[in-house]
Amino acid sequence: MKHTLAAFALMLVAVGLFAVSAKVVDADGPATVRLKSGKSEPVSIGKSYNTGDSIRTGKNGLVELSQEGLTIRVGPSTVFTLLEKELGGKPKGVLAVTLGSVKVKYDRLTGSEPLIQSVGCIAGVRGTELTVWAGTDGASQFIVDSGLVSVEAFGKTVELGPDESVVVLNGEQPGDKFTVHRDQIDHSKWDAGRVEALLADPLVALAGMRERLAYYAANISEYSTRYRDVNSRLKAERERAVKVGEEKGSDAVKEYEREFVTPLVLENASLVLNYRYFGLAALSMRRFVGSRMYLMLKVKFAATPEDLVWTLFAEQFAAFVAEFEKTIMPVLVDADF
Amino acid sequence: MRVKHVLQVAGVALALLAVLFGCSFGVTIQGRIEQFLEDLNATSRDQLYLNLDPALTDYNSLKDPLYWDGWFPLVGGGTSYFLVNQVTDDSGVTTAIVTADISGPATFLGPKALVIGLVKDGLNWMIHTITLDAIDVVPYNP
Repeated sequence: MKHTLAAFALMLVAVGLFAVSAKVVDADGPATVRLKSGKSEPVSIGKSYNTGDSIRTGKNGLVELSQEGLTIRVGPSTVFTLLEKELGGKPKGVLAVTLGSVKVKYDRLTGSEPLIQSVGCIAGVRGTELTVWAGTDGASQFIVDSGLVSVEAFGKTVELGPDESVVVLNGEQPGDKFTVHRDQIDHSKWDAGRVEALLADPLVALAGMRERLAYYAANISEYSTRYRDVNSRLKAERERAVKVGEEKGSDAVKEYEREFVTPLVLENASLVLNYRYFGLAALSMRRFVGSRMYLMLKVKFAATPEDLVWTLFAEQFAAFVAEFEKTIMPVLVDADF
Repeated sequence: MRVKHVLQVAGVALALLAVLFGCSFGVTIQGRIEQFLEDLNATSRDQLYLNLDPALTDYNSLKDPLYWDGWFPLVGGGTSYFLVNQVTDDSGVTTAIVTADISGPATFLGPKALVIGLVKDGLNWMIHTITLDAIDVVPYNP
């Protein structure tokens, strides 16, 4: 497990400092965008949104976005965010579906297709048309219309071809793939099933979310530890550079800085951006999946608060919140809320 | 007649207020540079991101004060450790570039060449690029 996490974390070496933007070409029904500045406004046709901006559609809301060679259809009751990260030294766009339904269609394949991320997994795309569903309980389903898609979670990869689908429960590896029929593709029915599963066994859904939280926490811990190490080395090297300057003059200090200080400054910046990426992803999961889950269960058991399932759920949810506070909060800042 | 008189007095008062408080609203280029410097010299850099253009790709990540501490060593608040000696100010209508030397505490190893790119967002000038000795601190990502 640790090995898998480490391998996956290594893939995400640095968060990219690159831009992904998508233009709204069609919108219908209620839809708002939460800009990364924290400001919310209605989605408007013709406007472009950038990395970090998050679109939320209402019950009947639909938004169609266009990126270069790519069309993204954001379905009703969906939370969709444009993200980015660096993989193997190259910038990679990430389309994050936290809740609801998104359909992605490629006009042509360029080899730099964005990754698709749901709460529980990440998918690499070599296909031209696919649908992603993100359920109320944190589960995801990938449905391929054409092309190939590889879905990975916790070290297991499932390759999907046309008309194939896979479900990934939060905190678990992808399940077995299966064939879908066109008349079976109905997100609201699927999510109703996810809600039913959540209400039938809330402890399983919560356990999955805690597993995913542990994944984010493990990455944050790794990058934060490295940050602390690099930061203390950076401070020491800065002090040494000052002494070099005192002894050998300004040219020597500039040379020392180039060789020993600047590489640490750059590594330091990269590590901060990495642990922030995982921190913000965990915050999104708690906001859109965790809080919703808690409210649904609280309503269900409002009349029977002594029910054993509710008691256990409340206890474990409190543990989830405590884990979040302990492992994720240290890398979040006031401005994130 | 009485209403007209009141409106005239109010108009004069508003004009006086505008003169007293700098004629225009919003943050000027110089005002932004000064605010950036003030936030850099603060005890924590947690307000520094507010000087940046919110359209920047990494705007959310750059809210972390520790990001800035790596580039500009934090010594403590209350003193102007970081000082900018502005060299040029190449202002356009909606974009501007400010070139300066920046010096700081000994461990900053300055003075260094600082280039700040700004963009006008409504009435306010916001920072959208920063380079320090030709290294990107905040790269341009529209």
